[in-house]
Amino acid sequence: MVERDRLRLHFAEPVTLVCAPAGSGKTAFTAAEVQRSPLTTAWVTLEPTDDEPGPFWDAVLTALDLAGAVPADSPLAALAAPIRESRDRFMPLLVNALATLPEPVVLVLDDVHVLRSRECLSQLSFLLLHAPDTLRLVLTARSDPALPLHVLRVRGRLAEVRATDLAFTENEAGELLAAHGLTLDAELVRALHQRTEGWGAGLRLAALSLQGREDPDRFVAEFAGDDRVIADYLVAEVLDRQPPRLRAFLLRTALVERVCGGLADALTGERNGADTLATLERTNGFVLGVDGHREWFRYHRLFAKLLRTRAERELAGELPALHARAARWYAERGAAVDALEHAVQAQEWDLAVEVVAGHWFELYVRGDAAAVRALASKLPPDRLERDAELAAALACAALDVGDTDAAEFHLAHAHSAPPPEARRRRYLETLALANLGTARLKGDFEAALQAADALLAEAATHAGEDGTREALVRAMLGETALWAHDLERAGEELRKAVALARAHRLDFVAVSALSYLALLDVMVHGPAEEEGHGPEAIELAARRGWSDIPQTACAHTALALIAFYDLQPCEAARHLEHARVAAARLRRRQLDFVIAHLDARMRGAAGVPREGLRTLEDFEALHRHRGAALPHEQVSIAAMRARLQIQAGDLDGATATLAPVREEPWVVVGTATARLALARGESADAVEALERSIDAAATHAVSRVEAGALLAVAHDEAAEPQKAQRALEHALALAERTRHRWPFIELGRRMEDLLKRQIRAGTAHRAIVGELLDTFADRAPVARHVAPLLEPLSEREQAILRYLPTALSNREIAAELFVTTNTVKTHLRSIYRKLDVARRREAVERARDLRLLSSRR
Amino acid sequence: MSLNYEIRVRGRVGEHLADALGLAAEVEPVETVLRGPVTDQEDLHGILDRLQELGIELVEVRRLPQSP
Repeated sequence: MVERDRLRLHFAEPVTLVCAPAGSGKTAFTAAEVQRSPLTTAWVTLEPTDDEPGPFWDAVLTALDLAGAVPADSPLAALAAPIRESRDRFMPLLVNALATLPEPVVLVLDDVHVLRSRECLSQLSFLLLHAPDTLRLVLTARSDPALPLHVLRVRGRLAEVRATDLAFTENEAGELLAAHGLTLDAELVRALHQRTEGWGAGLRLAALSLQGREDPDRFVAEFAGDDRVIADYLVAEVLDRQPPRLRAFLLRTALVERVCGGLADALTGERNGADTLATLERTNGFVLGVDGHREWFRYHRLFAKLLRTRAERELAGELPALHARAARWYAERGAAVDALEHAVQAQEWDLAVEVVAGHWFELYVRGDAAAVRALASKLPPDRLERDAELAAALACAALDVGDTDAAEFHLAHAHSAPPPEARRRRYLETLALANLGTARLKGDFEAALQAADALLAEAATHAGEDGTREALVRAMLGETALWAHDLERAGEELRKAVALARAHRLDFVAVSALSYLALLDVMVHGPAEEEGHGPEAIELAARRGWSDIPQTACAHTALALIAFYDLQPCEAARHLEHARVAAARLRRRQLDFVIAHLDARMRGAAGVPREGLRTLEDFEALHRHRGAALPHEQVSIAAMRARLQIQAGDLDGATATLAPVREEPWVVVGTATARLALARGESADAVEALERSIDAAATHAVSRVEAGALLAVAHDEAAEPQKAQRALEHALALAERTRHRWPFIELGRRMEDLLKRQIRAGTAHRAIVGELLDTFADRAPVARHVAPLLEPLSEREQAILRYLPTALSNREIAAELFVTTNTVKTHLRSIYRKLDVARRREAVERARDLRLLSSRR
Repeated sequence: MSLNYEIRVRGRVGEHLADALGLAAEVEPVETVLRGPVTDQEDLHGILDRLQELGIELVEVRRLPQSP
């Protein structure tokens, strides 16, 4: 590294642009400058796949996190990359969150020229123009990005380093050559500098060419006198100077990203690859060691590019065979992903198909099914149709990401093409995995069980089968059982899957199974018994650098549910956001449903039922053509929708929503019907609806607690205090086991009164009643904020409510409305009861929170 | 239907490099004119990117009239 004191980044301006062609040393320069700076640096190397808002901002947030720039309590820590619905809101949130950072941070976006999508560019523009003082942005690019740089330039907020700045001066060129062990006369340095125009990569290539040369003068003279393009000239020079065997070695081994002795031998057909690589590294720096023990090497980047360009011409006829050799070498070592890549390059479709067929299990188990999907896009169409085994494997890969259209396409071929006679058993096994994948998406447990039995029986016959297959099969089976509401079986299978995955270090399967187990825990046991499966899944994924894999979506959903029922709405919102981002890539209808349902519930709890209704509509619109519905999905959506409609005062709407599901045997139907009856003041109907459904099916332990608490309220309304007491006692017993507190808190003052009476009357659940009453007392302002109206105000009551913020007395209000004072008082009592308050001032505050004071909603 | 382009760069570009880009090279003193079919704008930018990666200075790019 050459010290270049004339160039310094001071990070005084909010934005720095380092813009120069490839090989100018942008990245090396920027890295050295941030290293020198006392400021904390977050570094993002952008890849073409980052050209989308989700992955892009995710990379930025992760880099800030990894740099240690984000304190745990910062709003930035709670921010998740935007998904489609939150894109408009994300940028202001990000800017505000960045502004709260205690220390300034340098954010480097390396290779920003890969960003080409309008969305990414306009969001980045926003950040550029609104960068808070705590942020110093450094962008490196090969060409000027389409960002409002001119605005920043005019405002003096942009520092720029361009190609002419980065070009080496003559002195620096001399230092660079010296760093390569070359001491040349000043004249030669000057000639080299002139010829390369200070282009860093050109100088480095020249240095490589000069190493070990007896006659630097002649080389420089020839180089300076040649008008060929620099890189072209130098690589020809380097290559043509090598003995034929080494030359052949260089051209062939540059075809792979990383090379080791064995792979080099496979490519060259010789036997001394390891020695040659070690010598190359020692003598002229063409290759760099990539691991500590000198086993794997890679070529200098520009050099590799030039070698490949040269190979394309010189070895044109031999290239497919070389790629095929590389593919076979990788395949023999089980490196299926690399094997596939080179088989595709070789257009060796037989080999590619063979690799997929032989390794599909490893690919799925290690989370590399994406490589199989990539193959599907490259294969000639007729190949897709005529190999039944391949089609089945491709179907598995498509099902892995919930792509049902592609899966159907491949499955059709898997059935129509003639099954391979020689590999019939393996074909049937692959087909069974595809069937299991299909059943999982549909939540069809019977079909899943059938496929799983076939797979497990087959696995048992495999010599050397070590439980890998079983782990994957059980994890998939457990997930299916969960969506099919066989919770007991789900727990059994998932626990077995976790144990096997742990024993065989199959982290990908472990993350997935733990994640589902976390959701299962909270559904069955409530917040009480989460055994840490959720955090374990998330930590394991983070340790393996998989923090953004969709398989953690379930764990985040579970943690969101726990936080919500444990009365921590902020924590719940944070996990829900993570879950949503991760789930967007999983395309699992069932999971999306759980997330949308919780989201709607939380919006209801936050007093904005109409937003909750919109969440449900969005879910339905998104999934109208995607995947099969859960058995109880419609029922569950109807119940939640009715509940939100009641809260928003649309009782007729709620009635219509519930009509088609009235007879469905689920607890949630009973509770929704009861809420509607209570809102209409028909407490006997509420009691009836609840008693009818109390033993019906429930997917979630919380439904039963809710039904119990609601039944107590309904009995109380119906003037049956004893029955209310018994119902409440039952609900409290459930709540004690599950730690569900929200169903009680949600019912507000009426529940508070009931609980106080329960204490006086004697209860077996003193501890939880005391805790709930404390919560009511502590959280009065919060509870007021979150508890929605159980029963809407009548028009007359709304009219009176609007007088309450004024100074008018009850008598004066009565006069205004042409009614008696007693009528006003009756209405007031009803208003107070419905708003769950004790006096006029509280009623005004609560009405403001719920936006009931504006004249018409 | 691809269009024919003419890309003029500074310096002499060897045939194998031009081959790799899928274009024909014609060297005029101190400049090379690369000519050939280009599928679409993405393809064109791809070629220009590769030239830039190799440190080649671009002088002129123009679309050739359709040959009858």
